[in-house]
Amino acid sequence: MQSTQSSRRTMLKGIALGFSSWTTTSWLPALADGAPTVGRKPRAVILIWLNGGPATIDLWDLKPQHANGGQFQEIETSVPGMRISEHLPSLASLASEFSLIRSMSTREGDHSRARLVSQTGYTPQGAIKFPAMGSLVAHEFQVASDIPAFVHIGGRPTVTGGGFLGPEFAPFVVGGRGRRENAGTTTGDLSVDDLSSTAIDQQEERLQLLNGLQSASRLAATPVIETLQSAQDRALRLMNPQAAAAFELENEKSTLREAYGTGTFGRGCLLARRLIERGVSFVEVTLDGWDTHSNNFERVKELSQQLDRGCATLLEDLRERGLLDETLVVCQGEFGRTPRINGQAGRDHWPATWSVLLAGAGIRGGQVIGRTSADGSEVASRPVRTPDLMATIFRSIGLDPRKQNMSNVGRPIRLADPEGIAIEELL
Amino acid sequence: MDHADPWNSQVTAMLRSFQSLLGLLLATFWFSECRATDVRPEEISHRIDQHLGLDKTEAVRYASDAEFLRRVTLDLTGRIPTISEVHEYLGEQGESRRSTTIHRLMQAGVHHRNMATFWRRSWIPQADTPEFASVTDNFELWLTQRLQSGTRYDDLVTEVLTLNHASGSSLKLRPTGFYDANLSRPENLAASATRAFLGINLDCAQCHDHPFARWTRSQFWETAAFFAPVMDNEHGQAQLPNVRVPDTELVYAPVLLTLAEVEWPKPLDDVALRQVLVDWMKRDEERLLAKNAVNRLWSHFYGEAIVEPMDDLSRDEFQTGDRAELLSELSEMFIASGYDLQILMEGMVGSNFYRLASPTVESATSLSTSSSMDLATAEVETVPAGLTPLSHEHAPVRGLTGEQLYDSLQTAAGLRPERSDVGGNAGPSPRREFAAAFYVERTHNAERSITQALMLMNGSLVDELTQLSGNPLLASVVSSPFMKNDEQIDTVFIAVLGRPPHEQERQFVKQSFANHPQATREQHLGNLFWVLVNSSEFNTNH
Repeated sequence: MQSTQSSRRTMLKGIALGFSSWTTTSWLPALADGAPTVGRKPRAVILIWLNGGPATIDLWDLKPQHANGGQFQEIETSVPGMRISEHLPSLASLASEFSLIRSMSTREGDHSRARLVSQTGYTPQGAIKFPAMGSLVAHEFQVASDIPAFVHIGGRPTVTGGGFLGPEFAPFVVGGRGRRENAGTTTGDLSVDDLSSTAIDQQEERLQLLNGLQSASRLAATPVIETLQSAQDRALRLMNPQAAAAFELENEKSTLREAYGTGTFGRGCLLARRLIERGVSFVEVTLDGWDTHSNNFERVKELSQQLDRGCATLLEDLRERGLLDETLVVCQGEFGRTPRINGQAGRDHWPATWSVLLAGAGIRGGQVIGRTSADGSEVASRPVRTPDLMATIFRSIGLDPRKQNMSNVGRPIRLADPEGIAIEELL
Repeated sequence: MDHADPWNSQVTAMLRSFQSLLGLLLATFWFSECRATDVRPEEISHRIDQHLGLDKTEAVRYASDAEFLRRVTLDLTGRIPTISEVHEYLGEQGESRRSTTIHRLMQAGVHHRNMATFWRRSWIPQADTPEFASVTDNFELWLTQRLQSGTRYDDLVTEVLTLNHASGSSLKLRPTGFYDANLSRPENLAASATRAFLGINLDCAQCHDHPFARWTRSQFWETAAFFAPVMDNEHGQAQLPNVRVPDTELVYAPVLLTLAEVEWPKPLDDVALRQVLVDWMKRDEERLLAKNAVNRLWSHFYGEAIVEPMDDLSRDEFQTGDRAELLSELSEMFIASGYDLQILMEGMVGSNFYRLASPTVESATSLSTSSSMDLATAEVETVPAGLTPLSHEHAPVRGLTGEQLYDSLQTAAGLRPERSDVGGNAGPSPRREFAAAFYVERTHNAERSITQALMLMNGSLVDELTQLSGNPLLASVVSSPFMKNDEQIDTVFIAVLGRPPHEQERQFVKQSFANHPQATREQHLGNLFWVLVNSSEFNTNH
């Protein structure tokens, strides 16, 4: 406790000194220079979160021979025998880069509970504050950077804080204020609000005063006080112009920006790559609108096009920059949707059978794991549960799923639920 | 009973009916006795302190006057005290100053609005998302009005649950928000009503039976059936409604959670059906209606609730032990007071427990040695959360809700907090937007995000408040011809933190001003205001 406080004071002092040259080049206490780094060691994760529960039966595991299949056709991919939806043509051509798990089978059919379980890997238990996967990964890699290690783009994070790992590992939310339009295309702004002071000329005095008065403060470092100070410290770090520049997509070529797609999701994918390049450990990009209780096919078609463009460009871009070998890309939602099509041409919640896409890092691409029955309603081979997926994810980025962290209730908790078994074929 | 003797059994039956008549009379007598408020707030305070062993606490452990005033003003009115309130309070010496202040604050209109926000958030937390903004406004307006007129707590619950959708003018305020926020679906309403008013978590039972949970899936759907519309059968007679579990053939009719027998009202309609549920809530021996209210209100004033999680009061392990005992006793007093919220609140803030000082650097170091020992033993035998004794070393430091933070910024700047309790229907107000951006679920474990920290340092609201044009307090300080430098600094401290600076702080501020000669007086004081509203002290209830 004592050491946290004194190190904070040193840091604020450094910032205050550094402000004299704020507008020029050197930002004194920067932890990393904020410039892209190539060929570095630590791995990273990009989670493409299909919020609302995607109809994976219309994306990755089509049933064209059955009435449950609906109106979409399958197309061949670059991997012989692996077929996906006709509305994912760019991803089809990249099939050797990714693998599909078609036999996800989980229990929770309620959005918020299913999200919580998918994102933390654990079923809620009493007072334990399970952190999201992003917080766990950020905590394991401990990358020193002025940019927060866990960034959430374009939605509302399932776990807003850092769980028992503390606020330092909470997701930093970008573009969460965007509103969803009818068709599911979000056009929110992805810039970070309030990233620079409106009174730059007063900044030096303000920070010097803040530093001085905090050091004279008699308040004990209770958890609430620590989260306030931690957030302020990290906000000040992010205000470092070099760190802040990570969020400026205008610095990218217009052709590349066009390739990603100009909606929030496409730009979110591009931002994810920029952040990963700068050492961020975990980026979650949300594509919302998959809760298709009615009019499923029209909506899924439109969403598939956004997904295809953003995700395929991301995989190619990462590969070209030599980042794909270190970056795991996961594409999933909280559950799947009913194989049976309801009266409103929609599909309802269905945790019993659904699919996940995995690419990059330690994942061997071009494979299909598991199989569902002809009507899509049952797992026919190799059921995979959330703990198994978690164990696979951690293993693929070089982490031991059995590693323990002390939780808020004084009980050690493993990265992944120990009942999970990693899918060896993928690693 | 002896069946062989008919005469004897007849006598027994007569005696029985006499007994029950007597019982009824006694109950009526007892009930009418208790309707009046014969529980005084002091008794509640005393009971709390006795329970925690604080009835004879040494004054050294109490918060200073400034700290107490800030805490109690935030809790009762949702904003920090004004400069004049601070001056007035610090100038008083009498033992009655606390109770006088508590009374004054509880009379204020903002008190009722503040508590309306608290109860609305407790009952329909899902309405804190932007899409429910208008629902929230209307519900809180209704609650403010009802609290202001001194409505009993059990009557508030009854009014929510027996709302008649069919009647009533659209101009009159009504608690429709409870139904809107639950999309008027029986299953959502059942889960919400039991959670909000009884502290029972039925949500998990909606989908399947959990091996260790007390409530089954059928009980969930039987409760939901109370919220289903009453339909006529083929003979035109109203019938008990059924609910069907989606995607199944399972159908359930209304049954009370305790399986208590029900004499169904005639004629039967939606309101009468829900009345059955409320009547049972009020009558039930577990007293969950009162316990839930006491437990939630406790968390408002003390941070951690008596029983945590607050939504799981009916768990077996929470039925015995210290905490359960305290909750039961306070709940009985609450019932005896006629579910009087004012008496309960006054009792809570009047306790010694509420007066304890927050931990300081000095007091925490002496404590941290003992708490690190606790941590070591905790690894060996884990005490289930919520079963440890209530902590009463210090008053916990709590974060501010978004509403408290907004209203406090306005108060610090000498502005009148925006009145959303009168009129005002012009879209999202700055207050609501700011409060939503600084939303915290629970204040005692509030977490601040980077986004929020950025907004408080660089956002437009705070930017305006650091300039004379947007900050009447600074404007008056700067333009006051007789105010010395020290007095100006002191005034900004009192306005923002509710206390004058310590000598070390005052010297530091003066030194900093001197170090930056290029800045104007106005800029210096604006910078001081900026620093203080960004301090941890301002952002907590300390």
